[in-house]
Amino acid sequence: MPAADDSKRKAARETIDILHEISTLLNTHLDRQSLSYCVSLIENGVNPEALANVIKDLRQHNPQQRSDNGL
Amino acid sequence: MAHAAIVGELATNLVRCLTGVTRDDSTFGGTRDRTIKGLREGGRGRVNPFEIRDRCAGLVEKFGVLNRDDVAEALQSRLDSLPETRWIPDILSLLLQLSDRPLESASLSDLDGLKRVFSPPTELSWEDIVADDPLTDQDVWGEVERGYHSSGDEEALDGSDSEPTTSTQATSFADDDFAALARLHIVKPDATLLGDVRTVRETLSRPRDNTDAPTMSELNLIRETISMLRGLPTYLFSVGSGGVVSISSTLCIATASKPMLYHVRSNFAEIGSQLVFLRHWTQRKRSEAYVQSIQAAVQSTTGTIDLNIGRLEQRFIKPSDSCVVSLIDVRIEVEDFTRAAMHLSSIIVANDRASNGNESASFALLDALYEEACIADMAGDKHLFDAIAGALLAGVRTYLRPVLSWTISGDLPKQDTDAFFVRLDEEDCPLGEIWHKRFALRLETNERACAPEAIQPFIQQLYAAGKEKAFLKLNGFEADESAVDVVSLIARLSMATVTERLTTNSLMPFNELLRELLQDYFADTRSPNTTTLRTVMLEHVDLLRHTRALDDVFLGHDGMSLQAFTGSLFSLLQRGSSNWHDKFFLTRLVQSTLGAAPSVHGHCINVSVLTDDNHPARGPISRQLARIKLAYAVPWTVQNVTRSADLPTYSAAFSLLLQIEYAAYVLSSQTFDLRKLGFGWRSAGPALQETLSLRERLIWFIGIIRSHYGTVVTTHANGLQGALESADGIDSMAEIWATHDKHLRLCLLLASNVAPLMDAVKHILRLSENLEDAWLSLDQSTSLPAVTRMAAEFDKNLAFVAAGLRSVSRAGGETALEALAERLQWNAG
Repeated sequence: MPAADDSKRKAARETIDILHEISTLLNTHLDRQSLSYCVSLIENGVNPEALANVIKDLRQHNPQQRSDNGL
Repeated sequence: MAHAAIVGELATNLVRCLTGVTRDDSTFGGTRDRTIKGLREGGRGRVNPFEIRDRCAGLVEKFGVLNRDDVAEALQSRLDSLPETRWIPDILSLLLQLSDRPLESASLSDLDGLKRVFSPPTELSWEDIVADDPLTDQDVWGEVERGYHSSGDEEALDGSDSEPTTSTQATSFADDDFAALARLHIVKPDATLLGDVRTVRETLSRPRDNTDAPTMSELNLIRETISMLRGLPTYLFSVGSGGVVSISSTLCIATASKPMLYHVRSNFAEIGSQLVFLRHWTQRKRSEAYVQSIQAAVQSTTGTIDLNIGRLEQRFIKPSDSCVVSLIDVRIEVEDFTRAAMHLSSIIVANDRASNGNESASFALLDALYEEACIADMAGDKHLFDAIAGALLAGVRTYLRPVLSWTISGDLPKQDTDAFFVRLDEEDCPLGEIWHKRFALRLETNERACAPEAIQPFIQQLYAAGKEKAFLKLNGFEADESAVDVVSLIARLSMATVTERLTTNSLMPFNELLRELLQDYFADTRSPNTTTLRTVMLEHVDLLRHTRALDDVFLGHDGMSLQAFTGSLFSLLQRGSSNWHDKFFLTRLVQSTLGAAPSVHGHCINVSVLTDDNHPARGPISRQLARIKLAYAVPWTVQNVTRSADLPTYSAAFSLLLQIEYAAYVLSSQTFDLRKLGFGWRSAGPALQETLSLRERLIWFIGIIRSHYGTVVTTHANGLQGALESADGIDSMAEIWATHDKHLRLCLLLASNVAPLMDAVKHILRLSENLEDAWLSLDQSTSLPAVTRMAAEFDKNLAFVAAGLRSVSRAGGETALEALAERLQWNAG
């Protein structure tokens, strides 16, 4: 049902917006796109703790990108 | 496999987003593999949603405790907005693990930077239309009547039938509905914003006993404190009858103990008390203009404080950044910008106390400000110095306005004369005393001039400047008041000038700097074209000519004129003429002889003859000569220098001169011609010898006295002329004249302390007359004893005079008297 898909997509977008605002308040340094990928990974069964460790590891080994990500 | 591919793809995108490394990079592959491996090794463990919920709630509470209520509310609202799906706890867990010091760095302004992705509305498609309204109705496919939709058949739409829209009503007027138009533009305030304030007010306005200490937030306490500092009534502070602010009720706050809170509130109460005092003091009515200027300066200081309080208040009403609400911070800030005002308040309070409420007590306030400004300058406290010196200079500028008028025009101020340092002493004094008696300095009980401390070094200078202008005005020389730019002159005494001077010479103390400023200020009050008093006295009044005239008339400076006068007078006296004491005759004689000198105005000479017990009409001629009183009418301007119209020293010197000249005249006359004795001189013998001897000695004595007289007169006259020419004002001229007069009196033995010496000299001079009488009746039997007696008197008086002169010259250091004593002692030796 296209209308249902649209409403689903709209709801998903709103959820991502809210999560992005929460992410900003918690100062996680995740941009919207990165957050979307993280949400998708979690929805695909990835463990949040493992995902957090991976993100920290990526940031640690790529310091030049820290300013881009808000660090 | 598909699941792994999806995860792999997502991981690849994540790596690219987080690191910025592209597939072309050599490290990309390794990074991606490491990422995927890390995700797989994490397992499929689920988080505890209750734990996540508790952690989020704890975080919200933490924000609240740290006074970040705005962030707490924003977070809570977003948490509440999240849909309840199975993955939300996991996602929240991820965010909590990645959070980086949110308590310190969270800010609502960051949310403003987020842009929500704009999703355009979905386009309407045929499927949606058919789904909504299926085309199953047969009438849909029926023929359409032609013209059915013709616009010409449509009735004109009445605009009033359509529902009003906002845009329509905003740009067009309905006929009678201004109220509706107005309602569209009214912005209704959010009444809930004041809820907290109303709650606090209700709590505080309830009657309570001393044990009831309500708890309020620090923000409310700061609000009440700021209101108190503004001078407004509050529930937490009360203002007593003397303007003393005190704490009126106890309360608690969650972030401080009661003793500390009481201490801080007491500090604020003290500051508030002093601000209340300052505000009341600036409103007091004072008669002194300089005090009103100080009040204005202090009012400007309190105005600046009010602005600072406003800025402080605005920070809490409209916080722009993360604003910390702290009573201690507010106290520190308030203490900083009220420090100068507190010091000013203490100065004024101390001054009020010292004057016991007597508002007319001299310049104690100005002196106190001057002293405190010097101290602040020495201490290097610029802020305090600026405040105190600003108030001081405001008062000094106003105080100097009447002083400026006095120094420019010589006019006393018409109002507030009791505070002015010059007073009108004798308004109707004679013109010859105007300089010394018309004005006087107004002195306080401690003999100090009635003026501020900063002006004391210039009192004499200002006093003389004003007297000079008044004196010149009487001489017909009006001051050109327009030549002095009063406005810019007064404006120079400002903090800007002081700051500039301190910048160029930072080591100069403030008292020296102010003295320098005032020196320049007073120097500039004199216009370059102003005629000076010295110029007027020397050029217009011709003071030097009048002093030369006095020498010519009284002291016989011109020997020939004196000879002509004395010759005529003495011959009249010896002839026994009864007209000799006719004042008109004598005046005419003096005018024609002594008055002929170039410096003398003959019409100013007047001669009178005294007739009283001290000056009998009969007797020896030498005594008769003392009755002649010579007067010379000097102008009133010169009288202000000589301090006397009669010139008693000069009159006495003239009288002495006449006696000396008469004695010389008698001894050198034809009387002592031996041929006139006839043959009787042979019988005189020793008497004749004695007489001639005495005559010689008398001639010698008179010659010395005449020489001494001439030397003294000439020396003093030259010295007087030179000194007067270099004098800068009437005060110095009068002092020079007084010194000259005193020396003249002493050197001519006219002073009271050498009166015995003068009597002895006059006795010797009278011996000339006696000798003449003895010569005329020269006889051996009767003349010798008389002449012998006269010789003895001569010797006795000569010795007395010589010894007296020696001791007087040693005591007084007068070289002329010492020289005279030596010359007289040659004969004695």
